[in-house]
This record gives sequence, C-alpha cells and structure tokens, in this order.
Amino acid sequence: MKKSRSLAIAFAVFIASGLSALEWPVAEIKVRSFFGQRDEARISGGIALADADVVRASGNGKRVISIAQNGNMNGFPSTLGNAVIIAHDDGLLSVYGNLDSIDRVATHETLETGAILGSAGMSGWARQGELIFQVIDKERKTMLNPMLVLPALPDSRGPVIKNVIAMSSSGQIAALGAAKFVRQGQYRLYADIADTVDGSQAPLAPFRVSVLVNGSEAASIPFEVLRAEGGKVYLDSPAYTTATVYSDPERMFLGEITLNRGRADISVIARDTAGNERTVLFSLQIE
Amino acid sequence: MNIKGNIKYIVTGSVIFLAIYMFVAAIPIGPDVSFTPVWTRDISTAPALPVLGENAKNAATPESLKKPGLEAFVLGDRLGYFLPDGTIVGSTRTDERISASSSAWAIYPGDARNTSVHNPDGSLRMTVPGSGYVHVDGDRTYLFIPGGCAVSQFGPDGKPLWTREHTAPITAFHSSPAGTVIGYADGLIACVRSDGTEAFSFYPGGSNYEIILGAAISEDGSLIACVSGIERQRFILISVKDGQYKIVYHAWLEGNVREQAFVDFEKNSAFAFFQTAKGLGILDVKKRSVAFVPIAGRIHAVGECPGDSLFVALSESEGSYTLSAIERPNHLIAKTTFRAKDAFLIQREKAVFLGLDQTISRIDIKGVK
Repeated sequence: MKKSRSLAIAFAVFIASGLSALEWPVAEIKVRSFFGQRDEARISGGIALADADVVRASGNGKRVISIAQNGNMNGFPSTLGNAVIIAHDDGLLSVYGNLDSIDRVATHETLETGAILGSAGMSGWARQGELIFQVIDKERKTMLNPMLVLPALPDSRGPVIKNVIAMSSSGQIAALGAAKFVRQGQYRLYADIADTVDGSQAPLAPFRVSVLVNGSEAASIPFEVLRAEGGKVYLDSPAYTTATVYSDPERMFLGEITLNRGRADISVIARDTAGNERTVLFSLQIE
Repeated sequence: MNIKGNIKYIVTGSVIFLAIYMFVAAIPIGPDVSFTPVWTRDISTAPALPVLGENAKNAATPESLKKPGLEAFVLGDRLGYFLPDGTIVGSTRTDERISASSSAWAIYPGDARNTSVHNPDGSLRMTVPGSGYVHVDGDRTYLFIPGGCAVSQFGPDGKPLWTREHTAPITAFHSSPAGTVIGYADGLIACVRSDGTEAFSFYPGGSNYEIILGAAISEDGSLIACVSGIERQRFILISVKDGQYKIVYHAWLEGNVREQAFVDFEKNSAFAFFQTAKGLGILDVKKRSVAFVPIAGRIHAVGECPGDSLFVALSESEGSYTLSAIERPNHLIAKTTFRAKDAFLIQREKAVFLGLDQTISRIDIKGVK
C-alpha cells in the first residue's frame, strides 16, 4: 500500500508538472473508454479513442512488431487486429490496435513523435474507427494507465457515485442510500461509479476509489497499473482481479469492510485523473 | 629433370591415377527429384458446407464430411474441406472471420460473442462463452479475449480449461496436443501444459528490446522454440523435462524480423523451422546446428515429410508467393513464384497441397529417398 501511494504521489507530481512522456496518438481526442474500465466483464488495459482517422506515434521509438489481423490459417487471431507496437527509450511500450492496415510503417524501424501509423479501422475487437491505445512499463512489468504519461485532458467534473450497496457474507444486500441499520459483520461494497471529461458524455472509469470507515481507509482501488502474477492480472492488490472488480454486472467491487457494533460513517471517495473528487457519506447504525 | 625421358612414366601414372580416382571417388547419383501435378480443383464450385438446422441448397451431405483424411482450408473469404483424392467436399464463402482445422470450424464477426464451433459435418461441437476471437487448432479450441493480452482454452464441453492473462499483448502463439506456448510483447514466454498447469514462464532477454516474435511447441511438449528480441535478435530452444526447463541452444540472428515470425517443429521434432530477417532458419535438433536458406519475405508454412531429405516452404513477399524446394540441410534446389492474394501449403508425406485464391492443387514429390 505504501509503495502504491508513493507511486501515485510520483505520478501526481509528474502530471502537475505539465510534463508528459508521450503525446496523444490522435489530434481530436474522443475518449470512449478509460484504463480500468469494464470491458466485457474484464478490466480494460488501455484507452479506446473514437473516430481515430489519423493515428500517430505518441513518442520517439523503435517499431518492435507489427501484428497482422489473422486472415488465414497461419498464426492466431489477435483481438488487437492490425497493431503496431513501439518501444520507447524510457522503458515504455506503446500499443496501437484496431488499425485498418499496418502497411504504412511496414519498412520503418524507427518512428518519431507524430509519425503517421495509419487509421483506426475494424480489424480488431473494437468499434469501427476506434483506436485501442495501451502503454506497457517494461521495467516494472506492468500495464500503465496511459493517462499517467499523456497530457491531461480538460476535465472540470468529478466522478458520479451511485447505487452503493453492501453485501454480507450470507449474500444479504443493503442499499446504503436507504438503509439506516445493518448487522455487524463483514461486507463487500459495490458501487456504480463513472467519470466524464469535458466535451464527452461517455461514462469513464475513475482514477482512484477509496472507502473510509469512521475516518480510516478500509479499501482503496487505484486505477494506475495492472500487474500480473501466475497468469492472472490485478489492480494494485490481488483482491482486485478482472474476475472480482466487475463480477457484478452493474457495479464495481470496492473492497471488503468490517462493521462493528455502534455507529459507522462510511465514505466512498472517487477521484479522476484531473484531481476532481466526489465523496458520498453514509451514516449507519450497526446492530 | 629430363621430362622427355620420363614422359611415358608420367602419362602412364596419370592414367592409372585417373582410373583409380574414378572408382574410389565416385558417389552414386541420386534419383532425379520431380514434382508431378496430380490434380487442380476450383473451390468456388464446390457444395456449400452444411450447418445443423439450416437447409442450404447444394449443401454437402454430413456423411461426406466424416470421411478420413479430411483437410481443412481457408483461402481468403472461403472456408472448406477437401480430400487427398481431389474431392472438394464442401466450401463456404463468408464476409466474417474464419477459424478452421480438420476437426472443427467457426465463423464469427469482429465483435464476436458466444461463438458456435461446428464439426466439419455441420453439427454443433460447442458454444464458446464470452467475447473474443475463437481459434481452433486440431481438436483444441481457444478464445482470444478483447484487449489482446489474454487467452483461454476450452474443453469439448465448452467449459474453460484455463485462462492466462498478462500485462502485455500476445505476439506469439502455438499449440500441440501436449500444450500451448504464448509469447508477449514485453518479452515473456509462457508454456501451459494440456492440463492447464504452467510448465514455465520467463523472460529470455539478451536483446536490446525484449519481445517474443514467434514460438512453437513440439508434439510431445518437450521442446519449445522461439524467435525473440529486436537488436541482437535470437533463436532459442528450450527443453522441458521432469518439470524443469532450460535453454539448451541459442543462436544470434542477423537483422531483425519486426512482425510475427513463423516458428514450427517437424512432427518428429528432429528439426525446427523459423523465420529470420535473412530467410528460413533450420535447426537440426539432435546436432544442435543451424542452417539458413535465403528465402525472401514472410514464411507462411513449411511442409515436411519426416525422414525425407527434401521439404517445401511457402513464403510471401510483396503480393507474390514463392514455393521453395529445399534439400537438407539448406540447399535451395528449386523455387517458383506466383501472384496470389491468398495461399496455403499442406504437406502429407510426399503429397503437397497448394491452395491459391480459387484453386487447390495436389503435387506429388517423386524421386526422394
């Protein structure tokens, strides 16, 4: 947790400084989904950018592979479709998927920032014209939230928190917005949390969600990096796997809390990449 | 020296030497290798593939698709099955994506969900739950999950056997009855046994930029080969024995392949074939020696007839395909180039099946020991 916090602080300082390691791969930014967002019951590892007519290299680097949409019996069908992967000097890899073609850079070994890679097409598991953009940190062996290394987006609105529920170990559900009393014990918290950026109504994943019980942090999900261990991917803690975070079809799993007899103030705090924050507070009597 | 006086001895000696040389140094001349066209068929006029519950006109009978020796093909937007005797048993055109093997086939859209997998005769084999792209390889069924970093294998009942996720896109994949090998953009290579347990996963490294460009697993799962890295690209052979793995051979490669690289083992694992920037690499697994054949472009397939001294390779470069005949270890003895949008190569013993756009041909190799 300590390591994660220091990483978050480092990134926050980095963002606040106005510096960015990479540039946006499209001129007109229309974000359809963010890192960490529900993607077919899984945690998305990248950003989906709509109407990506011209896709550009987001930094100087070397083209390490072009993946071709599998059109015959050779190879395997990558869900990235036609894709280009660029290795940057700072140990980052940038991934550009769902391209209409990989011919444009077929003979390029090095690419400069802004070099045209092609257009987004319909070659991968994505919407027509949507770019799949991912950033991999090779040094730390993680998948990075691209917002940590891209210029900040104009965003004046905080995330929206709805439908917060607590599920007991026996499966009983209490809607925290309506309940006044709950029994003591362990609960799994779920909520419907979505963010937006200026100029877009698309519901996006937040950057961090924390749960406080009587002022103490009981759970926290930072949407900063995806880590892998034993063939499974998780957000920060092995408790936040692709199978758990979006196991509920409508809500996000926030974590497990213990409620003891007496009064409990439960705060759910959601923050976006621009630093906008939203807090909802529930006061409950624990029996 | 009096040459004139000794000329008769010099001539006689030379004649005797030549006579002895002719008998001692002579090697038997091998039989002439020939490629004999046997048949060529147009796949567009074949009966449609049957689908259970659908009554397509001019559809092949399910019985005809249960015959032994059935071979699957995918040529452009056509999927079908043929027999070695030249019968195109069934063929269907589609605008959607195709995966096919001699055991099963699937057709699905770009945003595929809950894809049906059919047996060749059209009966439903299974429904693969979830989103992503189905890949059938022999009798094995996989699902590549949206995002490009995860894959699952499914059993015959349509239930997942295992799922492997990672934090980088999959860049290499190959399977055999013994297991599955997966390579990733960050340089990780992982091997999953057929029972779903992990045989190993590690970063071979050694190059300036780590990445796995191609990988293959042998039929018995005891060997894994891969092409990895950019700048100091290398070929690696990994041995898996008694639950342990180790790199038993590696070779630095000239130049850099920057696309998915073809890697495959001969059926009996005596040789491994792999793509390099300079052509086809061939590893003699027993001798641990590598030979190279300068074939231009991307290697699509290598035909094989274990034990034979000759094999064929299909490569593609700038819209043209080249069929090369290679004598072991690395003598390119013949090649022919043709323009085509799509092609495939299958070799069964001495019979080569070559698909080109609308046609499939059988060519028999004769005169090979």
